[in-house]
This record gives sequence, structure tokens and C-alpha cells, in this order.
Amino acid sequence: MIFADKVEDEEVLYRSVSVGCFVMSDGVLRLTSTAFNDPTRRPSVDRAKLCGANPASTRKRLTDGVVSLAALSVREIANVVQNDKHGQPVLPYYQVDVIPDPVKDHAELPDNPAHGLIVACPDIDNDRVFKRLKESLARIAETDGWLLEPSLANLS
Amino acid sequence: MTVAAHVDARNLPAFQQASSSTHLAQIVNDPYRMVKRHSSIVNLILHVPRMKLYALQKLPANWDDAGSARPDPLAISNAFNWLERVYDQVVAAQFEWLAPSVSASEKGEIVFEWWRGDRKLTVYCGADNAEFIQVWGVHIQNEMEDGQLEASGIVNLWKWLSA
Repeated sequence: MIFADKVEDEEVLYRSVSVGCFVMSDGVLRLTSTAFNDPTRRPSVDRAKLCGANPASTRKRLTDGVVSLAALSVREIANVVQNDKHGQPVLPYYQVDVIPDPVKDHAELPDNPAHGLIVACPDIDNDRVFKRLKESLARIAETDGWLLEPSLANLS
Repeated sequence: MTVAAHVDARNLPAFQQASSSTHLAQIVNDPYRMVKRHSSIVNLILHVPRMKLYALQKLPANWDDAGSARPDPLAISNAFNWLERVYDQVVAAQFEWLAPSVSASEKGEIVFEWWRGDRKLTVYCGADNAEFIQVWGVHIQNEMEDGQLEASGIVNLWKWLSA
């Protein structure tokens, strides 16, 4: 697939965080790794510059929070390694990337020109690698901070 | 019963009405008192995470709007057991207990997460297994470790988290 567009390193990405994916721990609103759940192992994000830099537009529900990640930080998750059954590294190493994935005329989803995907190349076919990727994404997003805090009435 | 035939009633302790209403019957002499007290403390401390586990049973598919599966009832059952096992071992080793975050993965596994400073411990409970991930940075290869969770390894993981 050829993408005419490209997500630049300096771009800001938004991720909606639903109820059940955050917790208050030691007085800090924490993002859990489940905030990056994705059955296809390609978590969705919105590109800030294509949604008017309005994080509220990324919310799926009014109670959701929104966190941000820099595209460069995501790409710097390097050396995603897959181990064989003996725990030995198996080549090739993964490269994490952010790619445009605009939604248009989808049967169920509303049009969203800002939509993008966090992907690994080659595709991650190993649960344990994806779990590590989610940990990393959650940590990066937490460092970059909440743009919109979720409704604390729904604190898990 | 043939055993009863060999019991000499004269050697049995005499029943004393007084013993059931005197100090012997007081709560302080209840041999199970400490067990009951320990049990009620454990129930109190684990009440919140257990309630969260019960709440997961009610979540539908796509509960997070990310397409995740409904939390697996067998994984929830397994998570109840692991929660108590981890708590028992942590307390027995005289470490401070931390309440976990309780959530679910896209595959319906139950996810416990604990934070302490820069360190984080995540436990995934499936229907018949459990895995852990230790995280101390964003680098997937150099700042994370994972493996199968074994009961014998809980204390070491908690020691690492608490260090």
C-alpha cells in the first residue's frame, strides 16, 4: 500500500482513553497499558494537525480522557525484539512507525481524515511483544501528559 | 461403630455445664479467632480489587471502544486466585501491599498493574496461566522483562518492585 501522506516526526498524536484504562495511584492519574488495547496490534491515534489540534474531537465518549504522544517518541521505540520458544532473539527486529490511515466511507466508522495507526514492521505476530509495546506507549503517553483528563467519576 | 465399643466412658472428661458459660467460652479462647481476624482483614484489603474483578464480568465486547473482547470468565476466575496468592506471599514476606489497577486486555485476559516510582509490574491472567512484565523504562528490549508467573517467583518480583 502506498501512502501519499506521511506522519512527520514532530507531529502530535492523540489517543482516546476510555473508562477502565486509567487509575488514581499515589495521587497520580495513571494510564494503564490497556489504554493501547488493539485486537489487530495496530493501535489507533488521531493526528493533531488534521483535527484542528482539538483533542476533544478524538474522544469516543464524553467521559473519555485524551493523551498525547509525539510521533518521534513512538518511532524511537526501537529494537522491538521477538524471542523464540527458548527465549533467544529471533531476527528481524521490529521498527515501530506511525502511518496515516484516514477513514472515509467506512461501513461503521465516521469519516476521520486525522486517523492514523501505530504499526510495527514486520507485523507483530507475538502477544508478548505487543504487550511490551503497549507498556512503552502508555509510558510515553503518560510522560507527555493528559490533554483532557477523563471523568474521575468513572475512575476504575 | 466398633470403635465405640473400646471407649471406656469412665476415662472421658466429665461434661461441665459451667465450662460453656465461663471464660472458656469467651471469644478470646476461640482457637480460630486469629484465623477469622486474618481472614476478615484480607477480605477488607482485597475488597476493592475483587469488586473490580466482579465488575469486569459485566463488561460487553468492545467495552473500551477499541474492539477488545469481553473479559474471559475463566480468566476472571483465575485472576481471583492469583490476586489472593500474590497478596498472601507479599504479606508473608513482610512487604508493603499495594492495591493493583484491574483491567482487561484486547484478548479478554485480566490485567493487574502496580506502580512504584519508576518501576511497574504488570500481570496478565489468562484462563489457565499468568504472565508478568517488569517495566522500568520505555525501551522494549533493554528496560522490560517478561515471563510466566509462578507462585515461587512472586516474592522476587515484589522485592524488585519495592526496591
